[in-house]
Amino acid sequence: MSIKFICSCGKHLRARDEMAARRSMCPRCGNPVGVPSLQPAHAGTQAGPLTPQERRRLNRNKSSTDAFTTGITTALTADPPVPPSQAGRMPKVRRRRQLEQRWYQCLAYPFLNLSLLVLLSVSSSVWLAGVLFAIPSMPRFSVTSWENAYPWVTAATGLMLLVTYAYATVECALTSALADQGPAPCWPGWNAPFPLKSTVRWLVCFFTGPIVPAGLAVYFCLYGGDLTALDWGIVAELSVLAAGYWFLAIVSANERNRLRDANPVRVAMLVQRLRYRAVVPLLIAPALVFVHALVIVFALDFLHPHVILGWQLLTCCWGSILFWSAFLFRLLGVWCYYTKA
Amino acid sequence: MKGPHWSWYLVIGTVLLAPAGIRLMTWPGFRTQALDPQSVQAGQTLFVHEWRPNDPLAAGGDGVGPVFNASSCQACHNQAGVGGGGNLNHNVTTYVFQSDAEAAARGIPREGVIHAMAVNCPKETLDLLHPELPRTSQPRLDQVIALPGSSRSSNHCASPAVRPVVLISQRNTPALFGDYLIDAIPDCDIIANEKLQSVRWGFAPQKSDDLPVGRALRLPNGRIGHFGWKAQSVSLSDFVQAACANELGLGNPGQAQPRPLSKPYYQPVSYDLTQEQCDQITAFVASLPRPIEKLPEDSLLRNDAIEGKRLFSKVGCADCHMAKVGEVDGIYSDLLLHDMGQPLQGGGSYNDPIPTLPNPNPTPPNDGPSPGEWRTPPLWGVADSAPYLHDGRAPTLRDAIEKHGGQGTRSARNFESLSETEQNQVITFLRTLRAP
Repeated sequence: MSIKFICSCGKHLRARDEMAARRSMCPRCGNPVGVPSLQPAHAGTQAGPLTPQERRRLNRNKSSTDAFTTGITTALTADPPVPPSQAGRMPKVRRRRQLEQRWYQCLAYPFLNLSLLVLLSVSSSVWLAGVLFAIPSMPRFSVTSWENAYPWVTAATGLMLLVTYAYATVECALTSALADQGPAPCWPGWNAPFPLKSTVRWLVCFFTGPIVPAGLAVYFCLYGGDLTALDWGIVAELSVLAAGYWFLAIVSANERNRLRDANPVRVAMLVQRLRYRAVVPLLIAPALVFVHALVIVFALDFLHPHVILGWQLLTCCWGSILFWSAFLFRLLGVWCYYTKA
Repeated sequence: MKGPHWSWYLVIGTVLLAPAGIRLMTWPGFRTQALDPQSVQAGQTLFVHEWRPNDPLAAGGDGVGPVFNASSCQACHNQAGVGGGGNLNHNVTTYVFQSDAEAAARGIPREGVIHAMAVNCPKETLDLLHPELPRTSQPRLDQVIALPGSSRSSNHCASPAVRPVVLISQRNTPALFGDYLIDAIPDCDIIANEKLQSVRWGFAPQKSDDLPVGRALRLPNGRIGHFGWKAQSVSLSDFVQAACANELGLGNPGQAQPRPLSKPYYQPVSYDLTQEQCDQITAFVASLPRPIEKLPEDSLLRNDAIEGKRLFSKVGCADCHMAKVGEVDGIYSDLLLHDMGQPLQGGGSYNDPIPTLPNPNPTPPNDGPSPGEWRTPPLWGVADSAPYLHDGRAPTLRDAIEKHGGQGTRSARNFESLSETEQNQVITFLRTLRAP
């Protein structure tokens, strides 16, 4: 027999019976967790005495109690260095910020990472515009022969890396909220596995469902002729379906850090739990995705005749995407935390 | 808490799925029309018939003329059998004024055809368009364009004084084999080519100088042009009716016969062809089989042809001469307009009305094809349809490739960069595209 319980970061844990009513460490977030008692009459957990080893570990991690040990760097967790003049005094401990209580408080979150978001949007638009201008002079590339693949692979890899990092940055907003982290600058840092893991999660969530409506929307845009108002309505519906499902699947997979939670049943349960708030991932977020996609296509069309204006439009659009994504993921993370069973 | 009634979900689901359902039911598929053998037989009779003035088959009209280029369809469409292409002798001479003001000043349509023959009226001659042009109804091709080796003095139409006013060009007779398949291609497949080419070249503009990014010609009725050197005809029926009227002078319900330049207000007594006769000719043209891709018997040549097909794609010919459009495989065209550059400029489409208000804007109305834009001709049957390019200025396939300009320059250069053997392999491949 083992005791199953859940850490505040959402990680499902299991402990041996002899650990009942004692304290341990969460392998995911590193925070101390209380193992529930085996006594059914007890409503909560009873903290047991710490072993010396646990106490040492706790002291070692005291300065990073709010940090993600999964590779995320947060400014909140770093204790300020003690100047020599104040040596001997007690170090000033920053108070842990509370999770946002209101939706509009989440609007402030992207501003905490503003410089990173601006850097990502500028670099993404520069790279994308550069690739588009380079395409006519690039050697012909065929999937069947893989001749002249080098410049194409380089161009695609660069863009993928930027997008990957952007994914991870935006996902930090979600995971930190799910782990009850107050508002603080949060980014993947230089830890390569985290963005890669994040990208894998996003891709798996995309390929387990949203790829169908998204593929249909792209096919319809290309092969539907000159689109009428009715056609635009269909493209909008498909985009909303794809983006909405994708958002929810990502949130669902992040909640317990399990990829298999991106399945339709879990997503439906999440919608049921969010109740009226589900309108945000199901309608508002996809509408934003749709509008931004249109603006990007317009900007790409605009790029050749008016380089500077097209590039500026592209940069603004990238920036807007990252800003709103960070806000929406933060909002969803906060809601999911508060509505957690 | 009690949830919404299930009927609400039904209503919402129906509303959301309705647009997709409507679109699925009205999706334009690839549909070839069933042909009535009797109509085909009657159409063949009309196709090969030698039309005369006041012809008994002309349904009370004035018969052939008053201005025309040939007296039967077969007179021009005869290479490799009835319905094939034509040689230089049957080139059609077209003109387009650079501005409406010039055309209005002379009291003639902005663009049209200088017909080779006339009955009951004076012949149309080039000097009616501009006094510096020669007094001829059938200018030679070397008079119209600057062919290598031709004397510049005979190149009247390209003289500096004339070129800014009016552009003269010629059109070679296209083959009609397999046109029933082109007719069945839905508009959305041609528009898809337009979008894919734009994406392929990094969202480059459609009127790019050197990138092969074409555009579908959207006609005023909202349809996409499928036929004609300028993609000016939507359907095979339109194409046939326009050809009957403009080349033979047989007015019909779909297209009025052209008025002689000397008699701009000529009124025919009646149509020369009824709608039924037009449908019969269309049915006959639609019955012409599609061209074939015939590999040589010799194994060496066969291998060359296969390698040539690969090189054809590699050098970029297949960017515009796409092997497949929609359901039609082996067409080797994208059916889009491409700007082929200044040396290949030519006139607009058939007769426009005479402009009443001078318009100094040289842009063609309705965003129509510019002088340098040509629809990518399908290459099926190309081995049996020499000469090549819109006016037949290229006697050989190699010459045709080398004369590609504008958006075709890139591929032409890539072709030139191939070794002699590889170039021959491409030509060998093109020679496998035969008439039926």
